[in-house]
Amino acid sequence: MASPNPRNYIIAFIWLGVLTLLGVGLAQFPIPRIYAVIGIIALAIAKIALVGLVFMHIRYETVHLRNSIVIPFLIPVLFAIALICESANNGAI
Amino acid sequence: MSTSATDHLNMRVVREPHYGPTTPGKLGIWAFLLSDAFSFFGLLLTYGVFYIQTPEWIPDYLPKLGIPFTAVMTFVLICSSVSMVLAHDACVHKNHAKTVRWLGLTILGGLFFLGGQVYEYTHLIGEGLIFGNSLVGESRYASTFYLITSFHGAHVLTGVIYLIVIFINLIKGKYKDGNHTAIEQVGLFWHFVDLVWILVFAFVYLIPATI
Repeated sequence: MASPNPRNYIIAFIWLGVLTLLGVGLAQFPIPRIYAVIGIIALAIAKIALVGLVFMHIRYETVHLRNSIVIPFLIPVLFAIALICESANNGAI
Repeated sequence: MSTSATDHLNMRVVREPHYGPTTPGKLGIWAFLLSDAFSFFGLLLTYGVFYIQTPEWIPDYLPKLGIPFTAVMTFVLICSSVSMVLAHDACVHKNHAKTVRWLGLTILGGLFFLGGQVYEYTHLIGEGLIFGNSLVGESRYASTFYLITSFHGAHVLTGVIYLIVIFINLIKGKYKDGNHTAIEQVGLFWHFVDLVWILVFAFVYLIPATI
């Protein structure tokens, strides 16, 4: 099993800074709104993955503990997808 | 529960083959974080439904949220997350001075964020972003903004108090022997606060600001 390394924390920190700047840039630049929204959500997911995997040490845990943590987080995501589909079906989107 | 009994719970390592060398305290904080995450997801999903259903999310007469200022607050929270993980690393390696320094910086980062939130609220309320007269509020934008950010702010405040308690114990020399479980647990909570803010910043601040 890999072990935590302070160098990885600094690399993750730099990436988090860059991704935050990119997110702010996407919100300000005049690009089609749908692309900006998709980009902001994708960047947020990437940042969450960095914080979870590197800072919260999920990548260094055993497979069972990792699954116990990650899988429950997917439930609300599925719920969100269901709500979006329902809204689209009702013509709200 | 006495202090010695609590210490015993924190120190005992579960030798369960599937979960590896982890403490009951660590498993407990993960269970708490999952339940807390569902609370945040509930609020963000409600926000999403309101946002989709509302034709004009930010009416002209209400102030817009300050993206550059909040981006700085976000960066400070990320910095405090790094200092937190470095404090844990220093404690694992029994470097007391570095642990004190990094944990102190983490507390300062949390206090800066809270100060920033107070400043932002004062500024926005002054410009007219208020709940209105009804329970939910006349503006869904204002209601959801204050509900979500104040719920997160309460977590930051809790995290800062939690960090200060651990910091006092650290100064007293409680973790000098490399017992890092308490610092690891407060770290998990603090990173969770940072993780949730990433979502709040994206959904509440950035997406409504897209042109």
